[in-house]
Amino acid sequence: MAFYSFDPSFGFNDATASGFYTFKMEEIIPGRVPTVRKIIAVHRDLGLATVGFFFSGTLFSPPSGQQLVSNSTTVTLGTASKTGRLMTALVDLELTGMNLQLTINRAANAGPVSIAKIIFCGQVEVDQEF
Amino acid sequence: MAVKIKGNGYFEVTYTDFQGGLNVQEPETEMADNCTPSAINFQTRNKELRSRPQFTLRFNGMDPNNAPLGLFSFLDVNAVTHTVAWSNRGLWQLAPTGLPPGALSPWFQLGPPNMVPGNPVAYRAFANVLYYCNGGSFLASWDGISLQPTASNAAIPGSTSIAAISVADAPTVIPGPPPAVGPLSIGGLFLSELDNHLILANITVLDNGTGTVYLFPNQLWYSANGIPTQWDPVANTNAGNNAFLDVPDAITGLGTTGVSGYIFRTNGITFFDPTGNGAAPFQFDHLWASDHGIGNVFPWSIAFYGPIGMFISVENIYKLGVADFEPIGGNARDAIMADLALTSGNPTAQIVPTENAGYVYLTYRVSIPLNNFTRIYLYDVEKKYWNPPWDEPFLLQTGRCEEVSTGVLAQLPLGAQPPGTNTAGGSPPSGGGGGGDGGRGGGGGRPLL
Repeated sequence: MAFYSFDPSFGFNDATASGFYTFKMEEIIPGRVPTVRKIIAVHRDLGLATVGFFFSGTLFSPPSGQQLVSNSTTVTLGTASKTGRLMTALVDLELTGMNLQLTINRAANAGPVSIAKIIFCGQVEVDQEF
Repeated sequence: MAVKIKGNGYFEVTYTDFQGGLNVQEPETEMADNCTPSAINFQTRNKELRSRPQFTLRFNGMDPNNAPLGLFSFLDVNAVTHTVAWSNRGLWQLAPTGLPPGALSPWFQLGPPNMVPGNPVAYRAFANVLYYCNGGSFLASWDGISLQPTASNAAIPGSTSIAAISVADAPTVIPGPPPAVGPLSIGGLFLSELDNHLILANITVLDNGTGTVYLFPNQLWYSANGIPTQWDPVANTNAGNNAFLDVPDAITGLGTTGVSGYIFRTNGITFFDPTGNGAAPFQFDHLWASDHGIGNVFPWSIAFYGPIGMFISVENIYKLGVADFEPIGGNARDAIMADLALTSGNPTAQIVPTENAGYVYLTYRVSIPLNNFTRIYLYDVEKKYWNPPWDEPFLLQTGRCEEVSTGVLAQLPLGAQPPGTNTAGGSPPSGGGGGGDGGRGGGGGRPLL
């Protein structure tokens, strides 16, 4: 029984609640099987933060059917001095699959996260025609 | 488009903006690039995707066993700001600079009447006096100066509500059969004000003469203009009630904006405004009075902020304003409705302009208790999208979110204030919460927040 507030003056590093954000699912080119290799994360330095990057996708492999595939990595963003500056992190994370979808995770007390832009890059077959 | 592909097959997918918000009503491959199909505990802040602010303990509750039912700040006639809260044990005042003598929390108990357990409190400051109710058969008040609240009408002996009817007039007001004996004590689930009338809705009346309790869930009762202690239409025709016998449902909330008001029912909305005629001070017009229709189904989901109001109907969330009436559930509607269907307590909502002094975040917040946590959906009123919801584990929210003064009460001579507010060496009231963190940003003085 108490009174609480969501208070930015205490920062954006909640000690008890984790969080995640899932981005739109990408086909890249419908029916092709792209490979993603790198994530470019432009973020504001609000302090050190440990962020998980998780890619999921699907593979179509008849006759056994569909298959879920995923890969993940964890990186540290920001600085201890909390500069407030925009910074860029390059994150190596490879996954081959259709319907690629990126999720970023932040565990409880893992630090403040502020993403300005996310870019992920890779390769896809462009010559094949069905 | 987020995807750019070069001739050699190299591709880049870019996500920015993030102000499409939560989208559960389009396939994940078809939604806009700035939407999310699923997210928790992130917010968008100036087009950045940010972990939400820290959830911070402000004050312990009044006691370990009774949940707070509301929180509010008002200004008394001496220009002293009081922050008060309610539990089912009555009204309490915050003494922010230290514990009152013998207390376990910074809350000083001002006293009964006891509130109805579990119901969020409806409150209104009128002429520097705080009025409140929450479904019991009373309207109580506190002026910020007396040692305890008032729940009787000095002009009507035996009454247990400020809204009261005398023994002489009780049989006229409730003719029965059998006629009421009186005195009558009137309370309500909702409280508002328009044109200097205090207005109760979803009425409960206690006949103190017989102990009979009358429930009038579709009734509105208003005080005389400028006289919040006069509720008797026999004694003053400017006070009165409207039973709304022509509608099939119960009143589920009230809201006023400008010179007009809205009475929300389960399946309808009634517009009302002042007539200027003392004998019939309000004109009531049903926007619709059908058996089924847009209404408000969660009594404490109604929130007004200046010219706009928000509420939750059975099939969508709506915004109404001076110039518009629009559904705003958008692509997040189904997620919100699914959680509302599972709620384990009273959902509450409020329009909140800031997270802290200097941190503007104008959102309509729907808080849904879900057994062992509360999920909060936030609608960005300016940009018109639903932020990812915020979950707070082990929290069950029991009252509306409010922005209140947590500063020290203004100085008055010791003894001029209730015991709990005596704060020797106090300073003038400050705004809610601590200061912002502006100006620490790198390059150009951008606020770190």
